[in-house]
Amino acid sequence: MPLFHPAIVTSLLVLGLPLLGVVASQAIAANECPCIATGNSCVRDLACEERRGAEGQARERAREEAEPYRQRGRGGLDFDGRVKSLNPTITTPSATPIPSPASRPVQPNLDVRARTPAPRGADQPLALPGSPQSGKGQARNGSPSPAGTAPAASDDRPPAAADGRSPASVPKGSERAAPASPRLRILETGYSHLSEFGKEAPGYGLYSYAILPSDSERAALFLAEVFREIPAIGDTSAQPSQLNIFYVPLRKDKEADFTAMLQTSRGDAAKLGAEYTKSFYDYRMARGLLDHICNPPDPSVLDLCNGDLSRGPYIFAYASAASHIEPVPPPYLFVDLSDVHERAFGEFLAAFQAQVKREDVSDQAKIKTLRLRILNIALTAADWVGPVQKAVADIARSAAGDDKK
Amino acid sequence: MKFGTIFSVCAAAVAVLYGVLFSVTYPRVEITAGVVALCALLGVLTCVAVAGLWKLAVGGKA
Repeated sequence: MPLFHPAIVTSLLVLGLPLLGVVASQAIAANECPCIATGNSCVRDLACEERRGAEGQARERAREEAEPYRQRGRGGLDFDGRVKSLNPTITTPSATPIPSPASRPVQPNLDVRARTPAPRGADQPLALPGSPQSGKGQARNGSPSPAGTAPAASDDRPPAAADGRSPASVPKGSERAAPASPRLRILETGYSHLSEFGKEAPGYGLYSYAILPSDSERAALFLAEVFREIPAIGDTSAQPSQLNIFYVPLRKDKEADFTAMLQTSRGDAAKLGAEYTKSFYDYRMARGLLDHICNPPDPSVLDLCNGDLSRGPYIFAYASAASHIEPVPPPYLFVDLSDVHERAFGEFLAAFQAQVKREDVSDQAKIKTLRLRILNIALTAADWVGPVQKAVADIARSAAGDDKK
Repeated sequence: MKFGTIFSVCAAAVAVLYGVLFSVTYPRVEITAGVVALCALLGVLTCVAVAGLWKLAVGGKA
């Protein structure tokens, strides 16, 4: 069919001319003023043109003012009143509710991969002015270090063991349970004392607890190693969000006695451990912590929770203060030292300190190692060698005696 | 030199080697009499095993 067929030309004219007319009339109506008919001629309406010009300038000004927001594109404010997200393809309408940190599910992140720096002290309550907790060394520690040389803490460190709220005012599994922001990498571990449930100092990167079910020689040796291997929280230098605070439960009624005992022990870790387990350790709180973990238990600790839980010691590490959360939701690090030789506690505590610095704190990669397993076997075997030597000597002596007779 | 003397010297040397390896691998663990005795026992056992293998190899050829 030829291009200039009469039917095609006619159709184009029929459709095109009215369309052109409509567009032209719209443009005139929008931008131009109709002329004033004076007889056979048409005179320009100057007043109308002036008015239209002013309107155009105002429109142009408005567009220029809006331009920075449009050029920003991401994270800016749209004219529709919508907040654009950082992802250019996703727009979050303002009507969509953004969940508050308190309303988020309690699932603390123990994985530091892809973490962003958390604002320091975001959830740190202020220390009460004039209160004992507002003092520097005492404020962080609750008590001085064994040597009594806890240095002055920096002002931005959270107050220890008291945030101005009574435990009753702290809701169970409340907003303090889960950190709103991702954690930073843990750099150091420091020990402190916990004299009451829910009295942990907020703002630390990781919360660990030394759990001893009962007073025993093992417990004393373990605490001696804790005081030997782990510095007091006042002696650490990292910022709180990068600190693992290692809490040792302390009987509330013995706080004053403990301070006096610290001065007499003069940094003797073995003596301190023995005295602490005998008179100062709060076994009730420790068993309460175990109850929190095991009610109901996570599958990872199911076997342990189904056992008698009377041996220990145990170490429990969590991304937030866990003494008032029940049940404690995973992920967490739970180290069972029930089958570990007493003399290996130092190595296991060192492994624990290395473990909390890992990206995934809960994987126990530094604790369940062949090296530590061999150590455990070697120390157990070493314990057997002495009695066996003595027994062989006794047998030989008795055999020699029988021969003489 | 007698076999017993050589054996004792070698066993003592291996025991010391085990002890050093242990202390290097586990610096926080105190070396007690039990650990020393274990190292001595392992040294003797190692030397017995080596001597047995040696006898097996050399004696087989002879």
